[in-house]
Amino acid sequence: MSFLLNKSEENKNAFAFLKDRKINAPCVHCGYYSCFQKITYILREYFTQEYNDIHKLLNERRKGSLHDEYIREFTRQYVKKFDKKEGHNLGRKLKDLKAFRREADYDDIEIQDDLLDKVEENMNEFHLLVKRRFEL
Amino acid sequence: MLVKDFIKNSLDRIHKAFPNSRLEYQYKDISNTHFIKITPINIFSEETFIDLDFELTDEFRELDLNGSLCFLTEDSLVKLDNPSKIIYPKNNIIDSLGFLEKDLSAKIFFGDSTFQSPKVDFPILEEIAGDYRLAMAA
Repeated sequence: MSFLLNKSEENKNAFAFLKDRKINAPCVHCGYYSCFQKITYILREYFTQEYNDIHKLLNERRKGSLHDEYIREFTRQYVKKFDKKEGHNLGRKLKDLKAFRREADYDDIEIQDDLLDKVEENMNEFHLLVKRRFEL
Repeated sequence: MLVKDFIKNSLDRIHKAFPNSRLEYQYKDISNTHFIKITPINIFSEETFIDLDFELTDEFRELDLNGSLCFLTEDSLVKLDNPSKIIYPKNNIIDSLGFLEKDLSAKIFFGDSTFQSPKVDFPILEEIAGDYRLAMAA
């Protein structure tokens, strides 16, 4: 298994470990990164040209978000190869999770259990669809 | 194009395509993200909205605007606590009250059955107020 996929799996396991102990905020962090690391792997392995283009573009612009670019490209490829509605829905949940991860890490807010359940639901949906579509 | 122009334009386009939607906009510094919340949630499964979402996201990127753009709805994780812009659904009577209250006297809604518009002469308001009275009666 690649190191990136392994890290993704470790973050997913860390999510379950932390959730059991009601350590909510770091859970969100792990949940997001378990998805993001898998997206990174998919782009590197299956869409190498697009992956390199993102890095070239960000180097030229010297601004912009690597995470936004990866999520956008992943969603674009998913829509192109598989299913438009499914890809769009997945993309919007990933962008939401990305923003929520920053709030969980940096904002002065409590992460309620019901929102953590929602993070788990979105994370599991992502991994399930990736497993089905990419066999990962 | 400035980001505020882009947001205004985006809200207009979404509301034009979905006049019965409620839109809220808020920028959050903590995530450097421009959030547009669209309700109801079923709009997200409409082909027109999916295309519009991709279009707006691509335009935001092409314009090289600062921050990220994120569309939210009822089941989203991020909540908007202080939206700086709200666009109400065109056909929603209760939501329209905020607008109506500015232009009509309280007598119209809570007084006798006579409808008068002291400030404006706008037939659609009469129709909405009539619907509202019926809803109150029910």
